[in-house]
Amino acid sequence: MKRIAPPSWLEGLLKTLLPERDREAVSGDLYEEFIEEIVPRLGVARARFWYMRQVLSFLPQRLGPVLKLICIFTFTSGTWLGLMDLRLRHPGYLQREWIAGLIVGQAAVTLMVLSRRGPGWLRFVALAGCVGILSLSARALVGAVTGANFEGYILLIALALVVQAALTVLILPRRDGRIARRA
Amino acid sequence: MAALLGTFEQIVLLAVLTAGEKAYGRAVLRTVQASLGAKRSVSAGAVYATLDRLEAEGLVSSRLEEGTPARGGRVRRFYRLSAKGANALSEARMVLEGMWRGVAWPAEVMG
Repeated sequence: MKRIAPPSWLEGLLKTLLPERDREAVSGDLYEEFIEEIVPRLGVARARFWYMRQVLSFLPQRLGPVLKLICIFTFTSGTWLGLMDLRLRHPGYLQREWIAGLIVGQAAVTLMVLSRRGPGWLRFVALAGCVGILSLSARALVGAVTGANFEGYILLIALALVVQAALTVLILPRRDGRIARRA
Repeated sequence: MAALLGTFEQIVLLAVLTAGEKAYGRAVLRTVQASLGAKRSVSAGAVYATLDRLEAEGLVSSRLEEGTPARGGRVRRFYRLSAKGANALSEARMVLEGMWRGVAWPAEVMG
C-alpha cells in the first residue's frame, strides 16, 4: 500500500523557504505531525491543505526582505517620476502626479507594515493599495506593448509593481496578530 | 545592558521552559498556541524564526536527535533555555513587575 505523504512540491517549497540548518528538522516536524495526527484527524485532502498553510507561514520570514527592497525601488521611482513631472509640467502632468502619489503611498504603507510601525489597519490599506498598483501596472504594460514609444524604465517599474502586489498579497495576510508581530 | 525581551520572545522562551525535555519546534508551537488561546493565531513560521533568533542571541541552545521512521528519518532539534536566556527572562519579569507595582489598576483611562 502506498504511504500517504505531504505533497512533494510543497515539501520542496518548504525546503526552499527555510535556512539550510532548519530544513531537515522543520520538515521532519511537519512530516511527523502530518502523518501521525493531521491525516487521521482531518483526512488526506484537508491534511494536505493544512500542510500548505504551514508551509506558507514561512513565507513572511523569507520573502519579507525581498518585498522591502522592491518597495524601496518603487518608492524611489515614484518620487522621481512625480518630481520630474512636477518640474517639466508636460500636458496631463496632474494625472501623473496622482499616479506617482499612489506608487509612493503604497510602497510607504507596505514598508511601514513590514517594519511593524503604525496602527494595525495599515495592513488593510496596503492590501487595498495592491488593486491600485496592479491596475496601474496593467495600463503601463499594455501601453508598453501597444504604444509607439517604448519606455524601458516604465516597463521596469510596472513589472516591479506587479511583483510588489503579488508579494504583498502573499505575505501581509500571513503576518500574525499583535503579539506575533513582534516576532 | 542587553535590550529587553519582546513579548513574543518571552512567550517563546517560557514555552521552551514549559515543554522541558520535549521542547522541539512543534511542541513549542503547541505550547505557545495553547497559552495564547483561540483569539490569537500564531504561525509555525513565526515561532521557528523566533527560536532561530533566540538561539543566535545565545538565549536558547539546541541539540539534534536522530530521525525516526515516523519523521521520514529526518532529525529533530530540541531547544533548551540557556543561562543567558534565564537571566533575560528574569530581567523582563522584574521590569514588568516593578512597573505594575506603581500602577493603580484598573486605571482610569481617557475616552
